[in-house]
Amino acid sequence: MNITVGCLSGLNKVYNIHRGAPVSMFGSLDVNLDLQVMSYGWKNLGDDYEDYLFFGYTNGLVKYYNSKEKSLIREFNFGSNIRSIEPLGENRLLVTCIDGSIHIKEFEDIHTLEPKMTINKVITTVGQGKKMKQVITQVKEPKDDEVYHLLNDNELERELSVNALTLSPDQTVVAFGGKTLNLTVRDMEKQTNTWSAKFQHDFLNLQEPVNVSAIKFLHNTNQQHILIGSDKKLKIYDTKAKRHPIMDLSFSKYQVKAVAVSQKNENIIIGSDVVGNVSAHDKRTGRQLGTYKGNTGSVRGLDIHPTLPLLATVGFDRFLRIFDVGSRKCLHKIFLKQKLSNVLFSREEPVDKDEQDDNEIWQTMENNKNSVDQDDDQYEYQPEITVKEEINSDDDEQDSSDNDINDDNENEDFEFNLKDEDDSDADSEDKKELKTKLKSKDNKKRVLVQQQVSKQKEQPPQKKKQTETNNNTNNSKKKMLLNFKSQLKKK
Amino acid sequence: MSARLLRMKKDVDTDDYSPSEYKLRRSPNDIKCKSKRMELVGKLMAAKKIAREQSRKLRKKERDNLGDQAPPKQVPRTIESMRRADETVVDKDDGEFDEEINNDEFASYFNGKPPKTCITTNQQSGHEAKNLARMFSKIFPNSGYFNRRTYNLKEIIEFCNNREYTDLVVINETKGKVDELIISHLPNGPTATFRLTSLEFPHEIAGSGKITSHTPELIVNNFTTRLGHTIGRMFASLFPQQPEFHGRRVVTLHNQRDFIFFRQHRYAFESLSKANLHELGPRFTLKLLSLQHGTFNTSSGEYIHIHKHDMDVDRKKFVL
Repeated sequence: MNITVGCLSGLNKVYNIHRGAPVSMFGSLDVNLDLQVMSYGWKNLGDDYEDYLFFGYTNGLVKYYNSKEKSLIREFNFGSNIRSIEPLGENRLLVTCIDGSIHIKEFEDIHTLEPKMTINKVITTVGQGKKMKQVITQVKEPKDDEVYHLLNDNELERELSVNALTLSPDQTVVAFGGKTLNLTVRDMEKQTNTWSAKFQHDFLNLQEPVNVSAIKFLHNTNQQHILIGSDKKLKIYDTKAKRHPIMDLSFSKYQVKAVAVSQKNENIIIGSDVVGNVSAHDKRTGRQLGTYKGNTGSVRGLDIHPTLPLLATVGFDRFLRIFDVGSRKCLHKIFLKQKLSNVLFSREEPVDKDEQDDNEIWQTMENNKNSVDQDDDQYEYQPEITVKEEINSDDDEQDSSDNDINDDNENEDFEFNLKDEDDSDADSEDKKELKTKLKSKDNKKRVLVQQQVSKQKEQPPQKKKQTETNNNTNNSKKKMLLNFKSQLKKK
Repeated sequence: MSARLLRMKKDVDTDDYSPSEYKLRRSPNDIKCKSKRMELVGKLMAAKKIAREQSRKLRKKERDNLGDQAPPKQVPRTIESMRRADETVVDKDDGEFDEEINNDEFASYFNGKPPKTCITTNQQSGHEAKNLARMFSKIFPNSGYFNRRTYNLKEIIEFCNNREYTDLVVINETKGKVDELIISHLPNGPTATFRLTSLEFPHEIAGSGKITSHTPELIVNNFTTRLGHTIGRMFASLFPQQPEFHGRRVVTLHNQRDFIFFRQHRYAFESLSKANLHELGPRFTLKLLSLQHGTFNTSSGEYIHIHKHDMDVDRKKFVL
């Protein structure tokens, strides 16, 4: 599984944990750069959308890289410290600067970031005196960015700044906050602020300092619940309920730097501070569950894998650490020589190392099989068999008559082909079952049965039914074999 | 006698050991009388010493007999030799590290920019801190001691930046004793906080010499890890680049087990291989407490390294 790590001074690395080896390194080392934001490209870039990455730096540069080809696609400069980069919709990009200005750029092509061209009418006057004419020409120019200002001049004078901005999952609203600027929710279409949090006062009635450094929307709450890290506290707000936080907890006497939310079914929120404390709390009660130990420097980047319980932390101590979210054990600790700023998991699930080897073995055997089959013209080798469905149904259908030809050959073909299918469809549990079965050199029938069971599992989700289905499938399989043989005889 | 004592005596009286043997096996921990206990301990230690010396003699004999074929001498294990392997140790051949280190915040110094230091103390400091500060202004060239008054460190940093100072050194004390040293590299550089202990002034060192105004040579020893390199370069950037060799003055910053020892000497070569050292100036030990990214900012600064008590648990793990 690949992890992309953005380094402070421009060199970015991609690391594969399971192989334990770096995958690629791209970018150039420039000491004046200070990485603030890193994000994936648009999702409609395709399967390899994780290869396209945006980087935002303190001096206003936004770089668009392709990590596989290690090439810089395009570079923009917005002038002031970049605080967030969010891909919007299908071809638009939202960039926030620290002075509160949002830029929305539109692109023609998201692979190369060609700016969208609009046809502007330019009116020029030609001639003199009585012969003056107005000539209208159509010029194709790149479309201007939409610029909105979140802070007015008065606020800028008072040294307010926008330090964090996050787009909601359905991309309708945007939540932002910053130094002395409380969490505010803004509607993207109407470009108006719909909700903002109130300042809180402590027991002495003194205003609590506000310095929002990280914002995350909580899952499954319809954009209602927002988690922020502000100054030394973690706060959860409910935008439909009230303007004060529904939960307010502090785990350190240092500033909170980054915040992460666990997957949809879990209730863990994780915050990290400037000194290296990474602590997990229960989302509902606020109780501290524990800390992830090991980091010695400021932890700037936190990321939780969308499906697996893995947490990646990255910081100024130049290490990439991967923890198990539940047990808080450090699974991997990798030294990457630069000061690290941001981390992103790739969304895929890892393939087990053993399974990878197994897959390779099957692949080679399959290739050999292929070569043998090509000699025989009688038999068409078809990688996909719809036999599976036939096995389940006891009806003697004659639709897949073409496939029947293969089966009289050997059952080995069966196995290979079904295995192929399984590789793409089956769950990891089923794969493991397969693996154990194959290794123990069981009867091929049993293997088939297991695979059939896996298909049936999806329909009736109860393990107890397995034994019943086994018997059924055995019988049906025998029937099927007989059927094929009879059909062949006919031919 | 109580039943419990009887039972205990029974447990002890096994058929395997005779009473005299049992006496021999008695460890000092069983004897409650201190003088008797110390007697037994003395006997055991003497016996151990004799055994050790005998084995040493044997080994020497064997080595002499074998001559050239003798196995290599056994090296005693020290805490430094058993140091835990550290991934962050800088490999000189590594291109990436090389590039990064050579282009870090101190690169301008190593490319020729001379240092300019501002030395000050904490607010309303005692005479020890002030004396040390004045001494520092003699040790570091092109530096000046300034009275702290009531300015914040952030304000002082602003003043220094305006006047193009490259470093700020602050000496902190508590209850009259100097105990902390803060070095902040100026335009945006890292800030290191040290605990300063074992301070001895020149008048306390017997036979110490007088500091001259020659620019000294610098020895920065034993900084191996990436963090160590940052700190080492930070110290190096405080001192001049062109030492005056005819002055024969040396400043040493030696790192051992995460303690940095500061010494100042004048040397004179007696022969080609041997030099005599005459110690001058203050001598103290530093221990890194924290290294912060950016100039001094405790409220919202980001730390690269901060000393935590977890790090003290393993005696063989060092950070610099």
